[in-house]
Amino acid sequence: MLKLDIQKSFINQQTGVSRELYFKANIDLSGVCVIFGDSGAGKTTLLRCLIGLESCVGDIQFKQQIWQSEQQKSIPTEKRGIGVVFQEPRLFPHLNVQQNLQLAVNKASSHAFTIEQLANKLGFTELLTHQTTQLSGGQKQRVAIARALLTDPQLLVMDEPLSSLDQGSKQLLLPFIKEVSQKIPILYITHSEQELFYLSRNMLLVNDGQIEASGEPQQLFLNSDLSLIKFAHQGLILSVDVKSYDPEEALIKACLDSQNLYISAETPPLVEKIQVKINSRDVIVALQPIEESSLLNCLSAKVVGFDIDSQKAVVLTLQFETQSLYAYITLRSFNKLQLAVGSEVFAHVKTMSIVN
Amino acid sequence: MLSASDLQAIWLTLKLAGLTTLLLMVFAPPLAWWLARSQAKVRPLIESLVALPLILPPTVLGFYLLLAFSPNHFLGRWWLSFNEQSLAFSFSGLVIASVIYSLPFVVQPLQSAFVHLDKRYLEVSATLGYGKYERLYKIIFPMLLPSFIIAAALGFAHTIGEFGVVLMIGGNIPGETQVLSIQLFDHVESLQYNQAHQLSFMLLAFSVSLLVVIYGFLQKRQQRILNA
Amino acid sequence: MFGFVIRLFCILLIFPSISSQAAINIAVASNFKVSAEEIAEKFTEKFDIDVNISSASTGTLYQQILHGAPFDLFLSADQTHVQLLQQANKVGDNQRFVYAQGRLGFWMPLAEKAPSIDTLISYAGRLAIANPKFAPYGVAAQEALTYLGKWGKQQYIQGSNISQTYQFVESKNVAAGMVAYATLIQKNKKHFLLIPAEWHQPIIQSGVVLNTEQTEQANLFRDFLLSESIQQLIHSQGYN
Repeated sequence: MLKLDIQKSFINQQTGVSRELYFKANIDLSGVCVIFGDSGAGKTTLLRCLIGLESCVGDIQFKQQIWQSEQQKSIPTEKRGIGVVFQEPRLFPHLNVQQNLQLAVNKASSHAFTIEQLANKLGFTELLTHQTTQLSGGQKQRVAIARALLTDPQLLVMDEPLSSLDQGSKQLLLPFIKEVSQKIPILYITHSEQELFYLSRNMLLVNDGQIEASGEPQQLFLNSDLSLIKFAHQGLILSVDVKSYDPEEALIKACLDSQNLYISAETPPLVEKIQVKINSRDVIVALQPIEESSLLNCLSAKVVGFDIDSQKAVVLTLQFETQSLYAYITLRSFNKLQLAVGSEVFAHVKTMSIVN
Repeated sequence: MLSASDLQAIWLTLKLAGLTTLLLMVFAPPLAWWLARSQAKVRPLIESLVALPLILPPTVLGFYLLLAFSPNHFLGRWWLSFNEQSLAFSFSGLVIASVIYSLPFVVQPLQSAFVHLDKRYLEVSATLGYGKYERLYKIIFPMLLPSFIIAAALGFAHTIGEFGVVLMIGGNIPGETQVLSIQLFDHVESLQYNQAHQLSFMLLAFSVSLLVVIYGFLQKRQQRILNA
Repeated sequence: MFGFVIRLFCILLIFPSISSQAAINIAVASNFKVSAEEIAEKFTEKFDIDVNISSASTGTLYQQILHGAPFDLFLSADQTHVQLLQQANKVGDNQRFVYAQGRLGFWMPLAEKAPSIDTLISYAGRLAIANPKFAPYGVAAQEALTYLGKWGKQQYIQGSNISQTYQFVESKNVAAGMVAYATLIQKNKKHFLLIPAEWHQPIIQSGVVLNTEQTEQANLFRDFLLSESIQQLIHSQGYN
């Protein structure tokens, strides 16, 4: 358990505006906890306070260790046992890859990982003797992740580690991070929805210098009281079970709360559970199943809520057995179909993308 | 070739420059670090004082040191309270003068390196478990090693070439204060041009090769590291 | 701005040549500087010719003249450097002249009374002298100490000229020194011993008019310098 109750005020050097940040949370540390929010919301500052790189007022407690409190001198960064991966790799330019990693090993009290193991796993074995200046951005970040792990941390903190990387590096690193999180709890900043839904069952929503909410991403995305909702209305991510794959038609047959769903995919899925994102504007709502059309997917659902926005568009919240979906329709259609909370409808989904 | 007194002067000069450089490398780095990082109001004043020998005629410094070393003044009296000989015309006096006189040559390359050092490397070092001082000598020092070498080399070379101050407070004592530059001056004054040429050429060759190493190699290497 | 700098530069270039029409430049060994200034003042008063005085050690002035420094008259602290200039054809047919004979003084400013010869003989502390390799007063000091049989028996703090030697003692960094007797007289110092002239070769301070366009004025100064009244003045300032 990580308990936070901190305040941080600072004055923006350029604008002269002073700003107050206030973070209070009890974070359950198992697996990945994603800190999610718009840029400028204060995510990085929160993390820096936690690491001890930024001074702040208040209490921070990690398990039984008090990192900071009003009664005692705060524990310096180097004694908190946090492995940190910054947004940029920050490898030491005067050392080669091996030497960079060795710096971490030298200070680690025990060795859960070895350099060889990680180099092998992250695919940079042949780069060990290279100068770090010769590496690509993706290669550097892989080394930086290995370096953070070699400190044998009790908590791993990552600040948008994949944001500037190519797709290939992301494909390699995301499963790796998920695997690591089974041994070491991870706090992970991102504003990528994909990374959020892939990595985590637990999120902190940071908005305007505060922790607005915490909990399961699926639920927070459906909560219309949160700042997230505008973003969530664009589309939701659903978790589906893979049943089979037809290579001839390049289609996955999957199951969403016991209803069938077909998803286009060039290659067969590697895991049994996949995430798909359905954009709200790609959902067509009808009172009867639409017959003899090109639409593949027809899901029966129930209207559990709606919102009318300033442009007179209606966002319907459609519920299946356990998961939900947003659908954007016009006010005219909403009135014509005489929809209300409780209406039984058929949601037809045109396209969807696989998140992982 | 070189006379015995020339060799003695060379040895003395190397000893003076070596000791001066050693002392400077002990306390110039913390000073340069403070100058590079401090926001204190007195910083510009301290910075100016450190840089003073760059523009002050060496004779001014020599003259004031001579006054300070004399028993009429506090420093000289204090020194004489536990030493038999005055600081003036002694090797120790030359070391003190050289440390003051060569200080900016050592502080400035270090200060420049510290200013250009990305603070984020210090943060990473902390997250790797390195404490406040440990990260400086285990990570930052090796990273800025070229600048440290440049600083030491400039301090060393500048002490070797020092003349005005030594002329004022040295007293030209063989084996004690008769350094290379003074010996050279003696040769010229007493019309011994051959010896003067030998010593001059040695100094010239030494200085040129040192500067070539500094500007042609070390400085580039440091820039590559700092700009990475 | 740039134009101004250029003009200023031109003026500075022309300036010395204008003044040299009316003034003579004299290179004076540092021990004689104070006297030379006083004499020059009287000279200007009488002949309405300005005098610029540059002083340094004899050796330094010699180097400068050898390499073309624009001096009209050289007042050395010895004979050797004047002879060297003659050999180097820097003086034309001008003959060298003796304008003063220097004396050495053994000065102990912190002594209770003026030191005696015995005090000098028994003094074993650090002694300030002018550099005996090239400074005339240094050569004489070495000779005098050799005469007393004590050369090399103590530590010598060497000034590069006799003025610096004086300064070493005056700042009390050295307890005693062999300095120019004339300086002690001029500065009203006490506690010194006039070194007998027989103990060392005479410090013959000679001068020579240099081969420049101002020979006439320089000769005029030389004659003035050697005139009876000025010689008396020099004598009263501690020279023979």
